[in-house]
Amino acid sequence: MMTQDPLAWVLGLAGLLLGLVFCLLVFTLILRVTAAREQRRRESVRRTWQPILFDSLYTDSLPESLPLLEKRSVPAFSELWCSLLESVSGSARQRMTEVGRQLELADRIAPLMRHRRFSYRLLAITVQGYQGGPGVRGRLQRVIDWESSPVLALAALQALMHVDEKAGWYWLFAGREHHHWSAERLVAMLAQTDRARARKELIRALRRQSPDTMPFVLQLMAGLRLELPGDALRSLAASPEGQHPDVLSQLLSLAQQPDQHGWVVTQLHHESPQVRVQAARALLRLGRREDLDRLMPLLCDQVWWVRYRAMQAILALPEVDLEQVRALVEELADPFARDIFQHVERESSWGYRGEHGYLAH
Amino acid sequence: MVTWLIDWHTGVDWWSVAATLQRLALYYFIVMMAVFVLLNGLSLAAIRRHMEGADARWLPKSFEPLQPPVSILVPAYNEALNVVGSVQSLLHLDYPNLEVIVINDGSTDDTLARLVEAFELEAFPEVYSRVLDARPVRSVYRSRRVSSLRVVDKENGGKADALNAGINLARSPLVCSVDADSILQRDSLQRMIRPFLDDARTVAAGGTIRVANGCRVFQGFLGEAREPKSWLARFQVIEYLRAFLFGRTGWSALNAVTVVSGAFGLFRKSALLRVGGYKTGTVGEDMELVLRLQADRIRRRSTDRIVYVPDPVCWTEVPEHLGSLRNQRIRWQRGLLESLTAHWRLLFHPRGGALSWFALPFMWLFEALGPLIEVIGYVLTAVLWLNGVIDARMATAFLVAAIGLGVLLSTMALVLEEISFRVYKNPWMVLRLLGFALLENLGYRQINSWWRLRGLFQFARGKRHQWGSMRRSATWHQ
Repeated sequence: MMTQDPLAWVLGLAGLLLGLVFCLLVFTLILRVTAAREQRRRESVRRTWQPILFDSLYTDSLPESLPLLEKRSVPAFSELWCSLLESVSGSARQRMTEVGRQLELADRIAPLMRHRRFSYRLLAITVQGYQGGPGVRGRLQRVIDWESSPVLALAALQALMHVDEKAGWYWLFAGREHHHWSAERLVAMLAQTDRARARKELIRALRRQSPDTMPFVLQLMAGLRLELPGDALRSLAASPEGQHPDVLSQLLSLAQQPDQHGWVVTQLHHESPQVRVQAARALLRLGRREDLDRLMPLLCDQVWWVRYRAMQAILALPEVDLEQVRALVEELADPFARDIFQHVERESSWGYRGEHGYLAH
Repeated sequence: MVTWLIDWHTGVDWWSVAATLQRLALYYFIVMMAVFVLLNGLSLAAIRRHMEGADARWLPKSFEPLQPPVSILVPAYNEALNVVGSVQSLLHLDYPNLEVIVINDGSTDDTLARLVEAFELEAFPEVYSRVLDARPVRSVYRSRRVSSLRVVDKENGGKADALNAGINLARSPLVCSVDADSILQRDSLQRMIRPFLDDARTVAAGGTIRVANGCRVFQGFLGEAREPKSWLARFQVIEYLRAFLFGRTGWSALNAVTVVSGAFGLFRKSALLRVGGYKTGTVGEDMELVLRLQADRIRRRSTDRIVYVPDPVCWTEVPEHLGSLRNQRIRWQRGLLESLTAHWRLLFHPRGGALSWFALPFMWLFEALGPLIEVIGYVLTAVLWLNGVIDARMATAFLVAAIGLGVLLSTMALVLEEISFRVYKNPWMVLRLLGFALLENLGYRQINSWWRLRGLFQFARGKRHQWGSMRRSATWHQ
């Protein structure tokens, strides 16, 4: 075809492309119009509902009857409701939740959980979490199980935690097998849950999980700054799974109790550098005067982080004098030890903490 | 043998060979258009989804993740004019957990002196882990006033070498490379970090780079996006829109990103160390690194992701002088070819997925060899038409394919920008840019192809790399 009249052929293609550009322009226009209409609807919903919702915050009783919430205004209302709900607590929050219940918000927004718009799905999932009620648990579990987006699945997990914490904890571990949730997001989410419950669930998970999952659970515990009971720590450390460097280093980061000191000290010369780093770090918290002799050899370690943390731990030991450390370092006659001493000593004299984030080495 | 060659040579109808080549060039433009339209479709879907997720302000506070520490690496070579302002703006980024490491790569101007004066720096007995090879560090400076800033003074070794030195000093699990002349938005890092928090498999993320010329800058951050004054910069606005919104967003949806711009890129440090950091002695160190990360992913059969954030997060000054632009484009073309040839094994790799089967063939055909085919196409069309070998319809068909389709593609990029971010608020500005989308294809693009062809020849001759320099105009307004 093209050999006969290339110009006609190319012009046809250009026309097609021009048509595509035109379609895009029309699409842009439709988007603009839709966005403007949505904005108007939001404004209208705000005018109608904001005073009612504000009243429900400050008065003990809810209005006898609420205005009719049109189907097309459900997303706009839900956005307003979620924003306000997030900024209140206690009885005001309960009354806001009650308004949502009277309007049957969870059921009315549930169809949007399958909407093609990502933001609608996210909104519907969030409302389910705030509202609870029959059927919500199943809906959220299905999202965690089937949804391909880790963000939506995590929002569903968070909502499930609100509605049914026990189910939420189950799905945290089940969902993690196919969603790649980051520890930072999970820690932030779990920080909002009941601390005692979180500790109990994570310890239980530690006891039943495989060695692959143990570092993850321990990482969550460290992120949440939860204490691991001494006996649990000892039994985990003594178990075959506890010998894995990933597990061991996480266990060390959780060591807080003075009675764990003896165990920490035995890890200072572990073959894995990540374990040595965490052991030295643990001695920053648990160190005793007699640890000086144990820590000094670590200043000649081949791994920078081990030398750095060991030096920090030495300078934090009780009853240890800076001049005494300087003399000991000189005795070592190791240039690495001397350099790290100067470095950390200067940092501490300048008031630097040397910490950089909760998941640091 | 010689007799056969002479017979063959005399027996060939060279005009018909040339006409076939010209026709192939025409097909080439048509195929390129088709691929770009597909990429546009992918980008449109990806950007729409991204925008919807980014706009959810009603999400519970607990959905806001903890922000992991980030080390920002700023390699600087003869950046005395900009460096202090850039560092100040980086220190004021809306991010709670960051450290800034400036690497002075043996500057011959007073880059270091200005930093020392502005931040009251003092030499610090810094000890660090030298995991990656880099030229010797002369000294490390720190400030008592700004604890999150470190300045490394090292011997000159190029941008890649400077970044490797910075990685050696970085203490965070994430490192961000930023050019000293980049202008960021206060929330740039917040936006870039999201892919890492949404999906723990993310090992690298690149952001959209936009043209800073003409923009208003307030306290080191972008105040208002404006249209540049110079024609050359306006052409580059269209070019950047096309390259970032079209290409990279589309490839990102397929996990087939081939480049994370050196001007602003965020990486997982462990991934960088695993592949040995930046490769020195190459012009396109940013692309080479990303291809190495992709090769590593394929080799390990891992599901790591390299993503592209469509938000405009970094604004950079583009050349407004032909000489600077020429040198930049020649350098970019050499960098592209160096990276592609170094990783030719990734092409059609059985486990490479979209990267090996679509993105890299695209890069080879339309980016690496594109200028050669384009220039040959223009020359042959002119010669063949003047000699009456092809008729006017064929010549016009070629021009419509080469220029007309280019205009439409540029227009589509502008429309995509209007659908999504709308950084240029003034409608007249958008209309003027639409005009430049047309003009760009009438001369500017052809000159660009010629420069890129020169880059291709320089690569073939094996010319050595050096730091790129640019005549600055500072046409943004403080």
